[in-house]
Amino acid sequence: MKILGISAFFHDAAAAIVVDGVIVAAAQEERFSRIKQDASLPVQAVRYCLDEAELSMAEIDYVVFYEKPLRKFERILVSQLRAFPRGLRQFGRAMRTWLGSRLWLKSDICKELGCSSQQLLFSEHHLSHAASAYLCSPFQDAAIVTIDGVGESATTSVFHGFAEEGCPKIDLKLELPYPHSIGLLYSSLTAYLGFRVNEGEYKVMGLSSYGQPKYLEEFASLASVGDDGSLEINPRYFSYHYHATKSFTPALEALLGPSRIPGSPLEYPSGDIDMQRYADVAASLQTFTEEYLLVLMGEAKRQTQSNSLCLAGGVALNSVANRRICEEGPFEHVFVQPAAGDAGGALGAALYASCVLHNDPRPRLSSVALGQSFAPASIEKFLDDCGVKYTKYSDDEELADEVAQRMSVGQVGGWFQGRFEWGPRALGNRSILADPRYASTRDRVNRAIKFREKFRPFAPMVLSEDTHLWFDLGRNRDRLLAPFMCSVMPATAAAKEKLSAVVHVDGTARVQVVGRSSNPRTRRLLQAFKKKTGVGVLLNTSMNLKDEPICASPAEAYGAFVRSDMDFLTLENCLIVKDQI
Amino acid sequence: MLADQSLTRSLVRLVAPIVWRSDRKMASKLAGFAATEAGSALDMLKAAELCDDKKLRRLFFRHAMDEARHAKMFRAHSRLLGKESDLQESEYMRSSATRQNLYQELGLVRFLAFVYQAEKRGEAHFDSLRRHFAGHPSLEKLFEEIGKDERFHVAYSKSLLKRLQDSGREKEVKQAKRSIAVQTAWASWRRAGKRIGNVLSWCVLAITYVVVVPVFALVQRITDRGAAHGWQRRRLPEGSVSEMRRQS
Repeated sequence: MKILGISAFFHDAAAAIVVDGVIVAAAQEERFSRIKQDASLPVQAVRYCLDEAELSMAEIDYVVFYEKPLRKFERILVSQLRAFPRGLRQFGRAMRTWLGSRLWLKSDICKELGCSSQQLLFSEHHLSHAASAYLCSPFQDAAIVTIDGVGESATTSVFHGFAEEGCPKIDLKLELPYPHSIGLLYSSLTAYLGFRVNEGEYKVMGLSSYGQPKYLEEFASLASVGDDGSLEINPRYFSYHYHATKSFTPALEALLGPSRIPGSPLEYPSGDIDMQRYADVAASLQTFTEEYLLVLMGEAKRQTQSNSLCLAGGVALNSVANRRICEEGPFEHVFVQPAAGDAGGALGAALYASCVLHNDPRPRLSSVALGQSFAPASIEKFLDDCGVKYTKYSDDEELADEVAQRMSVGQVGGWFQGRFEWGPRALGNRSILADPRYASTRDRVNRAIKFREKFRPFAPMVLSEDTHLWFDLGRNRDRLLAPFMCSVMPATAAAKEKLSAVVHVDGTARVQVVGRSSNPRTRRLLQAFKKKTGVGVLLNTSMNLKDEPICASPAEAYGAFVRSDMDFLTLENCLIVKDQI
Repeated sequence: MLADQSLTRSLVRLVAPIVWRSDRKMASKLAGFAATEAGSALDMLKAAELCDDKKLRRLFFRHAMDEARHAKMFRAHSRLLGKESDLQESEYMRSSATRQNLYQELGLVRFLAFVYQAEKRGEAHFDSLRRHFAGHPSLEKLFEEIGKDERFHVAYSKSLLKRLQDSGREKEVKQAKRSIAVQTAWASWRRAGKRIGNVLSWCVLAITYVVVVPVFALVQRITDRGAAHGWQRRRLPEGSVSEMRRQS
């Protein structure tokens, strides 16, 4: 079957195409529109997916939307009635959105994408997440836990994935209803800490390492956790179910102190009482979330009796919590779908229709390089036409040697290779790379290249055979997560001493392990860097500037290169050096 | 076009003393300019990436690099003038850039017409600001320097349009210029219309909220057994194509 999956209209719209159980292409719309977390119908991503599969829309068997819109509308209406008369602004906003466009979503999709209504199917939000994780995993039998803000009406779901007569099945065991949501609690506290919701959660996770979980008692009054892994939010402290713009009430500020003004300075270590309080609140939130997730995983184990766990939904991107789930949770094996957020719903919706409905073979997600690539010849022509000076390397070893040499003397550069990545992480195809040995490099990348907050850590990529030298593998239950940077690992004493740019203040790092079968050019670069410095590790951050999507095309990469302090840029086998252009 | 330019100049003269009244305001405006220029750089780069003609590609690329440089200059001056706390607050403005995908949407001729008209307006705007800041230690020079590039952008886009006209596409170029002028005016009207529409729909919905919704809210409150909490058990519907056609 040829199935196209799409997610849209909340945040992070995406498209994915699955042909006879093979994931041919998957991409977020933001990479084409250049609008961060673009929520609009992913017309350009769909066009790309069809091109990559060499198919026309008429040849597609089904187009599957990742959720049931009318069920979501019903939840919003009921929620509005319950909140009356406090929800005037949210009512206005929601009705304008729904009456203006979302209620006509079916005809809009057909019109914009050029498909017929007979081709269009609708999955459920959490089922799409569940399918995206389970059907990509290597497990036959697994507990599937999906956790995000809210889908149609559920906020957290426990499924059981299993095979029946060779066909994969997904069975819903439990679901937690809105507004009781660990995802929305995390987002509300993200807003309280002055960061943008759906984007600042990573920052809260980074910030949490600078504080102590001093507010756990207060958090116990924000939400209660049942022994059965259920969660109940105390509505006194939250207003996301009726307020259009503010997700917490004055009661939360009375409990935890005044909220942070967005954009106000955050410097750590700090003697400032408020700054330390924000870090302590972040630490408390992170600990509360981790503790809750451990209880939830216990319940998932009880419900499914499975040894393996698949995780999806925005909360599954919390790599610190993932580590604890791997180390302290009841499962022997853990898999997280790398695009665990709403974008991943597009892939899950397509896979559900393909593998569960039509019994196509299940794919194995060994790489996230599912996006667009650019032929080296077209890159050279672009550079020639534009008069950009560059050096072309016909030998990959030479290119790796040159780039490694530059990084070993403190230079920072862009690394653009092959197809761009699926999901929020750059894993060596659209990356900015640097020497991980000096904290000054980290500060420079934060200040002059990524233009982001000083306290935010950078992730390392490491040769698989060297991982144990630098990072504590623990029980190694997160080995399926390590290639996709979905979990953190404690640094060894050697790493703490030698890799100061990539070891966070709490002594951990969000590691990407580069295996022997993955990404040969990036692996060669790591080997070349190791030959020069004795360290098979690089600092790796996504190739984008602050608040922009990751670059997709060579021109965009060049744009980021000239607008920042990067020293060099590698576009496939062409090397451009800043002081030579 | 001349009328358009003089209108721009007059408007800038009129509002500049208010808009640029303090270092803080200046820093904020310059940060806004930086974001706009960075966005233009992305659009010009995309045009350079998509077009096939070598000469056009090189010109678009140079234009993109100019805009990127302008963004950097504006950002640097904004940093000099702004307070640290304001700088943090508008860091998003400083570094973010939004591409409008103009080349893909407009096609070559209309894109050139758009660039020409936008640069012409930009040139007039920056020239007025240069005059406004005559004697200012840094901003006069900044606007003068950027103004030079803007003049080059106006000149090259004009000459490209002329080249197209001379190659027998006169009608198409004239149409493109007209259509861009109309489109710009239409976009302004739509923006205004959207604002008016928003206010009107807001009023209608507010009235609905206080007149109609209470009835349903009352019924809901009488019949409601309270919001669900704790784990819910539900059977997934039978996985079938017919079930998946449903939106609810």
